[in-house]
Amino acid sequence: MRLINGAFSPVLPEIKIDESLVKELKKGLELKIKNFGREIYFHGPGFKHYEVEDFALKGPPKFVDISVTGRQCELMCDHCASKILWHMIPATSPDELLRVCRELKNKGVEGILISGGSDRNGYVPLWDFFETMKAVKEELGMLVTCHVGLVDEAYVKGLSDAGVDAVLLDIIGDNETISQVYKLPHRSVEDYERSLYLLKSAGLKIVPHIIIGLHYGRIKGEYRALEMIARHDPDTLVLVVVMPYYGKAKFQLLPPPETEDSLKVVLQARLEMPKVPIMIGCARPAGEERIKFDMYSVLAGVNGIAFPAEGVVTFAESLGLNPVISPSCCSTPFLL
Amino acid sequence: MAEVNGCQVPEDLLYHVDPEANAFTWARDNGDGTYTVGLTSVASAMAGRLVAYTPKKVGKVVKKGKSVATIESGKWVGPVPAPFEGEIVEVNDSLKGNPGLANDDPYGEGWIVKLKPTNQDEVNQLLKGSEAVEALRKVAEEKGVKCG
Repeated sequence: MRLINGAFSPVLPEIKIDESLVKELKKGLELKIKNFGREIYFHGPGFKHYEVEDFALKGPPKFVDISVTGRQCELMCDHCASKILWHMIPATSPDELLRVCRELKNKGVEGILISGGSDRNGYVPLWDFFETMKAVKEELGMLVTCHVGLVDEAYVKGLSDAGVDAVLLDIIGDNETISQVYKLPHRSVEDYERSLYLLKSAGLKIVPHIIIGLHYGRIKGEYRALEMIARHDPDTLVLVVVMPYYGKAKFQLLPPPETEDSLKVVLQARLEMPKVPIMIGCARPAGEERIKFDMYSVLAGVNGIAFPAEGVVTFAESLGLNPVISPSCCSTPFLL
Repeated sequence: MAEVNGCQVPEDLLYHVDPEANAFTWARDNGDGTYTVGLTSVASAMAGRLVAYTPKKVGKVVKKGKSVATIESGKWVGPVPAPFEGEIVEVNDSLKGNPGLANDDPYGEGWIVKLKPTNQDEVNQLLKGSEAVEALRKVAEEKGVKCG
């Protein structure tokens, strides 16, 4: 372990290193270097102002998020309550989507994530937008990724015909979590695994996400979700951590998982999928916990981090890694 | 008390307003050689509801414009630039547990750090009274910032 000016974190010298955890995590870094080399990606997509001492992306955004339902979500899951949609650009009809994309293209935006709230069956209602997505790709030459919920054959065909560059979806490995947090008692882990299968079978690039601590701050279905994902050859895996202040009132009172417990999930992901790019996505608790989580994640061998906490780029360099800064979404590393 | 787009701006404070550096802070003379520094209501409205506050360490000497703390909201993560060079003599522990204080009470309980200046000339250069109000008004209007 190399220390910067004698400290694990140059930003928070008081952070205590868990030496036994570090020893475990470094197996992940060794595996990552063996399979991917020393490059590590740091992403700063343009939906928020982000500036810390060793990482800032200035200038107009290159990648933005669009919601086809505005702020509406029929599920209103406990951990989110639709707040993830609030920062997205609304485009609630196909015509509006095309108009918004043309405006964005004129402003220099190169890629979009098309997302939205879910319906009561766990689908993000993209059906009416598939043809427009195709037009956005063909006429405007933009990178188009979609964040979907569950999918069926017809939905997958729509995505496939649209030629989207990647499909992102949250994978949940526990039926109680699906029922209680996601409000989908009629759905199960098998539905999520089937969605992975259908998307991959259609030749689409899949970028599954796992929300660590989704079950009211507890680690519950995460390891099963990793097993499910590993069976379907993901193009990239994105790991995020639940942010209690985002959720409904009862969620806001709950702490997220201990950072060390979350990191065990990250390490397991690396060990279970040694050749899959693993990224730490935008969502995770803020402040000191994020500094610690990000630094440990580098040691666990992730390929990249979105919005790295202050000091993390410097830390990666101190470990002999080569940071690559990207203004794109962390779900697109295979396109770089 | 002056008001800019619904944002309160006390006229008895000193202000650092530099849009290029995203600096919109105030400083209050504590009379003991230290100054309390905080976000103006314009700055806290611009950032949105804060969810995290990570101050630099007490004892650190920070140059003017360099970060005394990192603040985070859903749409904004960035430094709070020092209004003048100084040593951080105290950080706001209450803000660690409740970062939203910087939105609810930006000129009181929501202060960011206390600084002991190392160069009094830089303190003397801070804006006062109507000059500060007009500088903040310009920023609020250009960026469309409103309070309340």
